[in-house]
Amino acid sequence: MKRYGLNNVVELTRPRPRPDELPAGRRARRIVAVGGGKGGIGKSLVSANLGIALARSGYRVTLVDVDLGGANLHTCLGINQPQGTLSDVVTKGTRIESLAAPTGIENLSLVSGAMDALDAANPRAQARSRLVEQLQTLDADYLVLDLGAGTSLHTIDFFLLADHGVLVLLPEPTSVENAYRFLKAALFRRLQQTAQALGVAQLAEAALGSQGSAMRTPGEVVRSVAESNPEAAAQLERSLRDFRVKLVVNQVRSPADQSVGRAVVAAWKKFFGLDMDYLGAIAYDDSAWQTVRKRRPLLVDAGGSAAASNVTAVAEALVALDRPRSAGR
Amino acid sequence: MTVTEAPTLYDVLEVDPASSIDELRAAVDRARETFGTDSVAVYALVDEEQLGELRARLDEAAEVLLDPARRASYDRSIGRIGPATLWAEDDDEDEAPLPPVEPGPHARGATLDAEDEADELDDVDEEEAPRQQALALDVPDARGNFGRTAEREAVAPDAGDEDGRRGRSGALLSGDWAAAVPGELAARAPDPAPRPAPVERKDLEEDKAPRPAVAEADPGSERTGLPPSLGLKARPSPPATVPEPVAPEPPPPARASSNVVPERPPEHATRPRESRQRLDIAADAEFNGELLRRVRESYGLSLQQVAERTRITRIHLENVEADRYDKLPATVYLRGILVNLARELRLDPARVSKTYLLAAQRAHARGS
Repeated sequence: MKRYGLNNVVELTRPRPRPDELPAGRRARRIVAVGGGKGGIGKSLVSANLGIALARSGYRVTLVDVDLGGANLHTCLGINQPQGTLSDVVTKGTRIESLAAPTGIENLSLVSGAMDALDAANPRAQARSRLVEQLQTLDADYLVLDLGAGTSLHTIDFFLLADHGVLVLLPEPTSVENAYRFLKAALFRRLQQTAQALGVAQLAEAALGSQGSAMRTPGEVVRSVAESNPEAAAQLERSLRDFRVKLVVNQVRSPADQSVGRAVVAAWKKFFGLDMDYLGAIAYDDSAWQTVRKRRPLLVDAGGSAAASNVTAVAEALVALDRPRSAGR
Repeated sequence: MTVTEAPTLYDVLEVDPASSIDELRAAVDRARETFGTDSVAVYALVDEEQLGELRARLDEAAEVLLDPARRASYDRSIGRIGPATLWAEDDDEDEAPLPPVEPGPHARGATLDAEDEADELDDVDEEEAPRQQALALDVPDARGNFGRTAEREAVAPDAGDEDGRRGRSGALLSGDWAAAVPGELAARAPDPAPRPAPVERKDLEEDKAPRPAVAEADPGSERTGLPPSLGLKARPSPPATVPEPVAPEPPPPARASSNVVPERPPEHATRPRESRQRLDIAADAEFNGELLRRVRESYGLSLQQVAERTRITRIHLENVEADRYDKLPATVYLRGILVNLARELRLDPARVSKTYLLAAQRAHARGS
């Protein structure tokens, strides 16, 4: 895996203000990244409709299409591709806030990520860090990032950057496999970045490497680092504990599918020792693909469907996570 | 650290040790649903070996904890006095440490458990620790491999109350972060099931003092777990109330064990580790059942003790040592067993599993 410059590490690990530290009034800004590794599993559909559900609840929401090579969030929303896109940030130095286009839905705007320049879909580190930096300045209650498929660095970095990394998967082996690959890649990167920022990169590296290619559990790495640097290990532990993924299971068709979400949460905890929050399942629903074909958002065109009410419930579950936390964090 | 090092069978199921039988059943169903071979949720998450280990332990948890008698003796073996336990008063008496090897007088086991009638059938070696036999769990049978069980049985659609699942998640398994960082651990509220210390260190500690036969835990403590210094593996050893008939014929000679000390050391159940007979094992040794048995015996460990320590069911261990390849589970599970066993015996896990599986393969090819 490629290395990342120290600047980016600092960038990504820099603490953002907690909600209670921000001025009263509007809710604090939250970044939500919707990913899942595999293509075609409904990431864009979930992002778009999650954005709508949040906007309808009164939050100011900006959707950002960071599927740089395959941006089509505007299509999910039934609007034309906005004039300016994220590629302007990279190539022309355009400020990101000027790109936010209205979507026809109150409180909801869209920043398109369509990048037509040949190599723009895989921005270089410098461009990536400019994107990351500017994203965080966007003024909204919720920033919803629609990630592309795969485990490319910029996809993973956006996922790690988010306050809420939402993992979408379908209850089928191909999707689950890619989802785990994505999670492990993200976890590994988080570990690398944090270890580097703490100056224990070599320790962590050694801990990771001592068992061949098998991914060791985060606990093992932390324990191993703790042997020579307990303080760094404690910080590393905190950072990795913060890797708390939010799970959405899409296209659920049977009662057995219904239980997959809980099972994934339990399995992830069992083998990696990390908590995951289950936001809920979205029923397989003809209205979902039908509305996509009509280029109308599910929540707008089929608001009464099972899938629509599931998405709304997912949004509520997400918002609930941002209510005052229980002590401890 | 692997899944098999979860402190107790309750931790494996992620339930409170005070759970009712119904709660345990629900937890077993849930675990089958989550970790069985049909579960998509574990697809490509970890390698088959880790899954195999977990499934074997879940099988064991189901076998032991769903059987009230075995659960009760298991509870005692981990120093826990369950609400339904009859022998609470006996416990003080158990505190007196026993010398490591002391047969006879302390054998009060037979009165505790009807199953112990079978003790008389035990071979002499097993009699060395009669008191312990009465208390720890027996592992009579490897029926129902977890994966296969889950495959066979229709999974109940409602696997019970989901909220209960988190149970004692604070004392979880492989990746338990509390356990991972000693400082953090110490700062926490007392954990009912402290993490077992790393094997090597634990073994040393354990060996320093004569091992109390039963309750290592502090008598006054809440007794929901084990003292950290002893951990899981310091449990009293095995009962073998229903010993599996050990094959009378000696296992085939080890292929590469010419330099192995030939005489069989006495199999005293609690012989300290230091007494290991010198056993030179060639770097290119091929491990078969015979060699593994010799190594085990050189540590003075009984089959039952190893079963206790590794959580491998005893019948599997016997079959491994007797090279009964046809009786052993599928390769993915067998590898897990071998790796675990090798760790316990401080052998190179990769070497042991590789050479043993190769021999099994050859035997299979020969059609034996």
